[in-house]
Amino acid sequence: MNKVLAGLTIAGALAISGAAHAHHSFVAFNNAPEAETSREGVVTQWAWINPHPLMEFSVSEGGKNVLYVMELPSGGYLIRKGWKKDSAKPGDKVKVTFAPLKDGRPGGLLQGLVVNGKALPAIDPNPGRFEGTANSGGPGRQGGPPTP
Amino acid sequence: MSKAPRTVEAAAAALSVFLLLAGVSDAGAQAMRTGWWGVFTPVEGPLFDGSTGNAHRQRPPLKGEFAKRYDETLAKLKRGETIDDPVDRCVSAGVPRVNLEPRPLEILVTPERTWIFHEHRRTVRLIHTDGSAPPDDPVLTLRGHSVGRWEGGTLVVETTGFRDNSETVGRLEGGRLVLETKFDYQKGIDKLISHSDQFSVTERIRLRDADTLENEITVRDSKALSRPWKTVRTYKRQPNLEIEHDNCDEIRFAANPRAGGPP
Amino acid sequence: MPITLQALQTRRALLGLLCAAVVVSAIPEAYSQAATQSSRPNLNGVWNFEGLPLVFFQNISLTPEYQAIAKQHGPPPSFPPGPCASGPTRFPAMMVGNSPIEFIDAPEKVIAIGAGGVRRIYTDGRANNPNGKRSNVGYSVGRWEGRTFVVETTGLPATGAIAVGLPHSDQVRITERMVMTSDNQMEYNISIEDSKALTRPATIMRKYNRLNEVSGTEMGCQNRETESFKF
Repeated sequence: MNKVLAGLTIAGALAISGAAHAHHSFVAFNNAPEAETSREGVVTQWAWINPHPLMEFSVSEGGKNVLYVMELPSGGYLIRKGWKKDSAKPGDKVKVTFAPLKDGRPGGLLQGLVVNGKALPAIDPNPGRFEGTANSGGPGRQGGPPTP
Repeated sequence: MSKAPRTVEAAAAALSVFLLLAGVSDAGAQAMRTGWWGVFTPVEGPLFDGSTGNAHRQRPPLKGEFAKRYDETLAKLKRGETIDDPVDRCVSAGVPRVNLEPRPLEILVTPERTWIFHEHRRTVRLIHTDGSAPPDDPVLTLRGHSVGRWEGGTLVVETTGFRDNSETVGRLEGGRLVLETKFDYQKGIDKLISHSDQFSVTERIRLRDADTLENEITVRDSKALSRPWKTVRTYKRQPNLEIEHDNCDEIRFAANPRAGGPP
Repeated sequence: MPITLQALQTRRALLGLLCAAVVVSAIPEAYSQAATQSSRPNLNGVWNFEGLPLVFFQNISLTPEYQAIAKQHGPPPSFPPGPCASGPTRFPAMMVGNSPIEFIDAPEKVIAIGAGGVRRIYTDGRANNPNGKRSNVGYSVGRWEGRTFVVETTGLPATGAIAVGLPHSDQVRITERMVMTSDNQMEYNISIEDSKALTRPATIMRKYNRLNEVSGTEMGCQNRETESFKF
């Protein structure tokens, strides 16, 4: 993968925030490849919503349960990758790989999901990984609350 | 060399190639040959009996809670209060309401499918005429899932699988994900008329003459309507009209760029 | 009555129409399988990108004025994301995002459907944007050069951005070259010229493969709908 990325991240390269994958900025996340992390736990909420599905899961850490909240790529994108709107449900055991939130809260941008021991189809690299791209929160950003 | 024949020739060439590409046969070919494709604008006239703009001359055949909600909304309107309408927020009017908007449409017929491109809110309709049945578990949308069949020169379209205008938003509260759903009925007929999940639409679309397209629309809803409700919309061909890009949402963003979106 | 060139051309046109009608009744091929039957490549159908879900512009060289504009940032991030906004759709973003694109080769025009947007690419030889219209998808005219569909677009908004860090002026002009490398593969090139914002054209290239799927007409967030090809 690194080879592919090196080939693409030429000087001055910029990216468009893909509408289906990224309706908005990814600047809330630590998108560096080395920051990617994973947790194992049990799904507590699964919401197949627009613009991006959300998942909450409970992780046992230091003797107590911590809730992690994940943002997923858009539903249309995931469906084309082979996911289903009910690919996970509360009670499922999951292993979640994600780009963590920069502010330290337990949560992040989902990068990979194993449900009850079965890996869901892989998703493309975190778009926020590309420095100085559309995902750093400039004019390419879409989404946000509706205007009054 | 004048421009007109070149245009005609180009159009003919384009049509030949398109017909070849489309491999048009049977009813679809008939429709192509009789010139369905093109841009049409709606003719002013009656919408659904009860929903001519805000006049509401005739009471729609609503029942139960749907009738009650209609009365409440109408009373609000008469008091001069604002009624929330997703369409005003640039959301698609859905089916069949998009047909009632005074904006042009473009129709394109091939044997396997017919497209209707509405200018209004960039609504694209796809009507499957390949004999396929509606999916058991369709994606619910504001325009529904449409299957069509040809009865002579009439395209009969059945549309089901409508969604409502509800919206779920997640937020973090004390470390928990809180999901909040704002329920909103779909207003697929009119801003005053909501309907249930049993809503279905039948359209009978035909060319009345070379330049007049007619759509007889019947709506049914076992929960909301006491009887099927019907209207006929007619459209006139506009050979030189270009469909514009509906920029409703862009204007809204320009008014409040902090809400997101490009500058 | 002398036969004028004009009359000849009109007759040729009518003959073309007649031929088309005859051919129509004879050829029952499916819409999606027509490529080999036609004198020009078959653009019809749904196309999905190959490779990374991002498109990288290359050769970006902004003028000093537009370097300053490029540094302006948008609104702060939110997590989780807010409700679907009525997201504006722009060209070229709608063509090179992470949604499939769909082409419909219609008479006089090619209709292109991208993420939330519908474009019309006029192929009848008309002038490019004779009335000086401006919109987020611009005004496009297209022509075939062998197996390449060449599209010129003008009439984008007077200000705006192609992508983050790539603002444009009222002079922006975009050329797409869709090279049909095989029946079901396309190389998609974009070149952006802007005499005020760029010192040389910015370019991107992407590969698309035809999906063996019925039309998707995927619309984006603006209708609070995520629709896909299969659910």
